[in-house]
Amino acid sequence: MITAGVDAGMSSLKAVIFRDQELLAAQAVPAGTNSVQDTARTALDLACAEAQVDLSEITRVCTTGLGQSYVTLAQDRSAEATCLARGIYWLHPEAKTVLDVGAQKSLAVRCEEGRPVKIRANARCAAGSGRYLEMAAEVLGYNIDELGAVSLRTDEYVELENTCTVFAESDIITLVHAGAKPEAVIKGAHRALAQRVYTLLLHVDWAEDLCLAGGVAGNVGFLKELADLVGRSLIRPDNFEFTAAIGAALAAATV
Amino acid sequence: MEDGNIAASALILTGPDSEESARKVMDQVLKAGAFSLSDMEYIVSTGYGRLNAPFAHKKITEISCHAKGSAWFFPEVRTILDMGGQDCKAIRCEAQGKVTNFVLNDKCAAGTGRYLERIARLLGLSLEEIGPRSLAPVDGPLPIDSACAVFAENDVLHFIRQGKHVSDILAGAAEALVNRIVSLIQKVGFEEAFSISGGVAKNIGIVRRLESRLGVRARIAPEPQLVGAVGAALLAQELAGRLSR
Repeated sequence: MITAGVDAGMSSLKAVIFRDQELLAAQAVPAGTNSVQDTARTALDLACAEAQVDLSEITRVCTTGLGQSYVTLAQDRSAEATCLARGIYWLHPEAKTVLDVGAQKSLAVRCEEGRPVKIRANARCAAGSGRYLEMAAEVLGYNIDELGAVSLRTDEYVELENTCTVFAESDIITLVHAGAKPEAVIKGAHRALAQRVYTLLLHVDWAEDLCLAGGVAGNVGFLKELADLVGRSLIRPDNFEFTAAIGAALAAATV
Repeated sequence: MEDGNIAASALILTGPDSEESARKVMDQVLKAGAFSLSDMEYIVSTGYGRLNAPFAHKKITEISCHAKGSAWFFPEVRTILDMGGQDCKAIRCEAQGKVTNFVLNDKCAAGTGRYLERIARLLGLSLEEIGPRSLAPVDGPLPIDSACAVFAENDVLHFIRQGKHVSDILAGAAEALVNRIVSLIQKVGFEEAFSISGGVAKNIGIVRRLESRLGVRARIAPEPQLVGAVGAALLAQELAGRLSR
């Protein structure tokens, strides 16, 4: 059976195609300004091309993520935590915890053999999501993709006292104006985000193996700060950013 | 202030360097009143950047200063909402502006005037425009559900793309903010008479909604953004009096 999973995130839409337990294709498309449905279709078309299957060959499509209600091409929907647990089990069967940090939310899931047993999410405050780092990048004139590497350039960091992204933005302007090094401020921002998502892990009684998912896991500066807090190695499987989409495709196969 | 009256005032936007801003506004107010710094018997600084006014003899929290200032304008005042771009405070006080309780939000921009500043900027409107427009919705207020000022901008963008009326978006934003303000006021324990100070007092959309939710008329000083400074000057007068005795 061929199934597809679509993860409608805030900054990108991810589509994967499975044949039974085999991953055939994984494609991500920036959310942009088109409708979620259109962008989901684009991602799915790209995935079909990569997998060399026709859209009509896909038995079922399951969607997840913040924009899932707009993905009308999908027959099924599944909760993000369920998809993450299922997806990480496929990517890394030894996973006991998955931490997904995305553009607009973060989610910690303690899991047992692909099922979520404890969940803690933050989707209400930008300071606990990738949006916080995007703000730091914008205000300091960096590209978000290079921000993590900039953070690694220094051991110094500036403590950012305000949690709120809006207030932290003003603080960063004031700090840099007063002579703080941009690299140290950037490292401070990565630390601050890592500390906030770490509290999510504490709430779910995280255990090893601890795996990362979501776009922010691609940021090396964030990984470094989180690893320092956790005091253990973090596992970032191949295709980590597709974890939820993979879980959705596998869910579609079991309906 | 001179002998209990406002002799001169000045109001500027705080720049990235608050010490520089403090000097600048001091220069302006001295000029406006044809004073020199040495004419000032006692200077009290207050507000978020009060530590950055090097010429001040004493720094006093804005809670005390806003209560003092509000009670000078309105002696009967018992509940004060002071709301600016940086924080939001609900203050309960007795006669002469003696503070008995207060609740402060300075952690989250969604509960402050900054929320409206950002939405106004996104819509390309001035702060002066948004209040009146929020009172004239076409199809009714739109639900701006995000409790975060950053995420609320996504909600607003979404509505803009759908071609919704700007006044409906503004009405929705004002409703959301007023809900948060009312819960702050309820936490401190509401009692008449009620006064609003700070920049948000200039937003008629927020003021009218608060009045209707609380069922009272709000007392607002002629320049609500000066109330804290007036309170600081009144406290400076008391302190100078004590010194001279």
